[in-house]
Amino acid sequence: MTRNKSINNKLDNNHPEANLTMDEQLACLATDLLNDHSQHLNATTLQRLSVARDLAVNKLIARQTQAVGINQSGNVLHWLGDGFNSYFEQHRMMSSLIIVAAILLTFFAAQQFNVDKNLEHSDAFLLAAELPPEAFADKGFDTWLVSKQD
Amino acid sequence: MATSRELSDFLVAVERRAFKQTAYAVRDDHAALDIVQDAMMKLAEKYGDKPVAELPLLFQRILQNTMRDFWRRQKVRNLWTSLLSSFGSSVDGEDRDPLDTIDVEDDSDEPSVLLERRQTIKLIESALKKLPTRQREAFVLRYWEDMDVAETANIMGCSDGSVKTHCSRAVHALATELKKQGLDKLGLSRLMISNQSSGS
Repeated sequence: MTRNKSINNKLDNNHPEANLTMDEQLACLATDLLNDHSQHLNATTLQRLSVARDLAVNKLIARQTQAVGINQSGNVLHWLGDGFNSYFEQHRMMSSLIIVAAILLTFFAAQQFNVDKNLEHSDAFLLAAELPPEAFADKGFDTWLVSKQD
Repeated sequence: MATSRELSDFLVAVERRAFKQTAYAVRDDHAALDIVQDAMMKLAEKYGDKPVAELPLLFQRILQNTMRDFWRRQKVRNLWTSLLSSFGSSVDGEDRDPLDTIDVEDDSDEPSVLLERRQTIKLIESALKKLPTRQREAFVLRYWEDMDVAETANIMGCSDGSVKTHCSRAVHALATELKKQGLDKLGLSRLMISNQSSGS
């Protein structure tokens, strides 16, 4: 009954917190009685509380087991050290944004790379074609070609 | 991080007080048991990785929030119940074993002392139930749970000044009510002493 001791200490005149008013002393005694009374509950209630406690403890055990499983399987962030790992765990939103940004950057970079590759192909085509390269740049050439076919 | 053993020990230490405090607040033992169970589950699920020293504060906060959720749901339910009550009557056909609901009291005391204590506790409980919700919350946390003003303010989500005001009003109202019923400091002290001597 450590709680009772603390209240009794407060009520003790030598204690520094003893300057409680009469009302407060009465309230302390009332809560003491209630506290004692709360230790005598009926069997059904005690059983329900025990079941609730067991459920909560089992929940914690399941959670801790799950956490150990994840840690054992490991992830890429563990290779960067605990500092990185804890940062990414605490800033999940930020981490998600960084990952999305990285994916978008990769996509755009890949697109740029593909454009250069296409340019190389088009250069080779122009040089190997029978027509001179200027013919492809001349906007009136297509019209002239069509009129010639007619 | 709290181990399962530490969590279990903590819950054993607080569960009975938590149940009684919740029962005073919601005035329904079955609902109080559900609320305490919910609070225990939330504590284990969300804050199981916290150190044991932080558990009392977290548990009280969860308990208070779960009580508020209960009141919100109750408000909605009451609305529907009052609307539908005219369509039928509820009959509670459950068989109850009276032995299950008898409070376990110390049988070491004389019947007259036991009766007096029981009556006194009834009076205190009744006075506590009469307090407004916020006052009762502040009173229970400060005087029953022995929390300081800052911790109480943190749990209640208000300022230190509000906690002091609520506590002061609650203590005054409680003392007035108890005095009105003929209970004073001497009477309560005598009951406490007899209780402690019978317990030891």
